Amino acid sequence: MASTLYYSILKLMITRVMLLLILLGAFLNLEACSVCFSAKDGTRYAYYGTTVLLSLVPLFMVGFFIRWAYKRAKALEEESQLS
Amino acid sequence: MQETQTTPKRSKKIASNGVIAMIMFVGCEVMFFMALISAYLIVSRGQLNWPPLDQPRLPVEMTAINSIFLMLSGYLMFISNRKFISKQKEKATSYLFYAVLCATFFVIVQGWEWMNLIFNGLTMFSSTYGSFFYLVIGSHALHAFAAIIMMIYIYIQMRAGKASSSAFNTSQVFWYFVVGIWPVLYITVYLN
Repeated sequence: MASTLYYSILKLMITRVMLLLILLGAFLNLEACSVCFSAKDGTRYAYYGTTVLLSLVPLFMVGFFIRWAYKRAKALEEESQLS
Repeated sequence: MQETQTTPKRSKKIASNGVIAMIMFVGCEVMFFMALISAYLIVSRGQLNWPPLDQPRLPVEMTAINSIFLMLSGYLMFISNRKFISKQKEKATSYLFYAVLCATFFVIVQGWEWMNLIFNGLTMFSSTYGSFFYLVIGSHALHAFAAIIMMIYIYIQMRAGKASSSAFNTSQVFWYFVVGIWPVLYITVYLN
């Protein structure tokens, strides 16, 4: 009974470790694929730089829009209170 | 029993629907151009010679001078808006006219440059460099062309005294985007 439990736990652990290794391997491959046409550092740095840029630009745009809308709404409210 | 009905107080809009829609559209367009710039930078960094040695060089100085007209057009549009707000409709109309003139001049000179480049062998299919150049700069030119049509429409409306501030502001947002993105494209494509 105890040995059956032991084997099933071991089997589960091995499966999980294997899954983890496969995932890690997949990540390494994915990283290589994005710039696989060129093995140069310049390409990799451009890829990383533009990835950061493409991730941050939408956040900045949304933030800028919310700030603008808030300020505009506040100004309109003050205007209506004065009149 | 009589119920008193109160009409809810209508709150003022922060901007017209047109302006809000245009801001959202411009947001999408910014991402579109960012994606093009990203692809351009990644590909260009992977090449040994960029621009390729067998391809003609871009007219950097002439485009820089031409860019001044685009910037001037943006500034004239801004002045036109100031005049429009202060109810000086005639001045606003004339400033808008000059803004359209500068913008048209920019697009015409760009077209002339393109003709020279095509004549010298830089085409969409001559190299990756050519493909990227026409795709990135062509997309901007297409936007500039659309914005000019929009500005001409507003100018006609303004002359007839029918231009609404909503339509004028909407076209302004788009034109500021076209003017604002150009220095980024110029530095990336022409000075890279």
